[in-house]
Amino acid sequence: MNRNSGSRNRQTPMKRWKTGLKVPALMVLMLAYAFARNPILIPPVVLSAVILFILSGLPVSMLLLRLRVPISFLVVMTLLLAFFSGHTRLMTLGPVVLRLEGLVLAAVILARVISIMIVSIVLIHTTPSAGLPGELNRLGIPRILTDMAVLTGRYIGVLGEDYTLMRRAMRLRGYRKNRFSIKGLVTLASLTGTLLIRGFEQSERVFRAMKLRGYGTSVSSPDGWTMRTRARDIVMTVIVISAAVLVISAELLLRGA
Amino acid sequence: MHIPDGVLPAGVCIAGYAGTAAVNWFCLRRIHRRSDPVEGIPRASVMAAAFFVASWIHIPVPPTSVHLVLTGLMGVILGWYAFPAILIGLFFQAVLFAHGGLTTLGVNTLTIGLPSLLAFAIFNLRRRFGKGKLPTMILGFLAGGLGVAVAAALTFLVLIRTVPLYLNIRTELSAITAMTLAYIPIALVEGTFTAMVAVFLLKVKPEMLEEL
Repeated sequence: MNRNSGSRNRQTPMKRWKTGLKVPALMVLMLAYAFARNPILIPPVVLSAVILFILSGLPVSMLLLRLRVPISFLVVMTLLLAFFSGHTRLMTLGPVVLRLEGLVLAAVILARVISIMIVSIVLIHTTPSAGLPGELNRLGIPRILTDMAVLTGRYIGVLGEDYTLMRRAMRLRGYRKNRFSIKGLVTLASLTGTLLIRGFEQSERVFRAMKLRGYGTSVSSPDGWTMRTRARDIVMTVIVISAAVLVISAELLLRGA
Repeated sequence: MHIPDGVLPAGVCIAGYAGTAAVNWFCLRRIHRRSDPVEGIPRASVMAAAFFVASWIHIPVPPTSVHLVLTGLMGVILGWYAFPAILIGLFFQAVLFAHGGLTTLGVNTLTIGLPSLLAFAIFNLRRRFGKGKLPTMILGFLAGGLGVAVAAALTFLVLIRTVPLYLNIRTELSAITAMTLAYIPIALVEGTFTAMVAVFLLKVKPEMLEEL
């Protein structure tokens, strides 16, 4: 067993935290982070996110992998803010001017992005998917949405595999993916149509079978899923919600000052 | 077209969630008017998965390549189910790929989901113009192209109105217009692609184009 799978299986405080309390608490915390605009608040925001990450026991490589995705968007955003936001001139670089307020704002946004992504990674990777639909129903998410989410999760893998196989077959028959042509687009459209029809027919069969087995008759959780609310769940929830309230209150106070 | 976490202020994120909840409630109300509301779930789930997989499908548009969004195709095939399906697709993209984010899920669903309902309305004009190959192709093209163009315009509008760039109204409008114009080649490709898929489905499984 490698190090990553070991850390995934280890029971950490974040993994033991009851899903029905963890999901809303961490969502409130992420929104509180998004509320922070004052640079003074950024160190405690980043620190609290890092503490949650340490408590989750997740590998740092997972975090670095996910941070790679929005990097191009963030670079453009930072450049735009640094050169077009604010009045205090720091430096003139040819036709554009580097501005202090823009630079500070870019740093604040960057820190917020990293903090929120850390918390979302903790939320995603420490929450078991098995009982999640039931918990989300209890939180007021409509049943039709959770049913769709369950089937979608199932079909992402199936469609992805079918797409890769069909794409490989197309390439073997001479399809060139680097050249734009109407013929190529027609081929790609036929591939997509075929994938959709296959997926649709398969999903109808699966859904009918699920209904025959009693799916949809009650909102029950699989055996052993429904956890009792323990004292530690309440303590964790209170700590996280308090942190969120603190961030929002501090931001409001600093705005008033 | 996906706004990541941390970029938008909390107020906008909360307003995005409120707007998404309202539109979703309206769509679900329309879905529940059907005799069997769960009947459309398999098709909507497959389309939500396709919406997710679409980000892997790259089409060369020299000098670069673009990936499909499928906003228009979602509206064409799913009707009122398109908005909830896009919500699910974006949720999976945020969770599995970090495309978009959990705090910006509401805003992203609005900017991509509302154009899919527009695409649905456009494609529904087949009732008036007929369900043959030509109306399917033309309305499919308009639904697909406008779906992407409106989604891009809404995304840029949200970004420009919320990120403090200290631009005047005229500059803001020019920036939004310029950025939306940059999406014209992508909208043309997406429109053509949507028309082709719609014609393919019309030939092979026309019931998939009937309103859910």
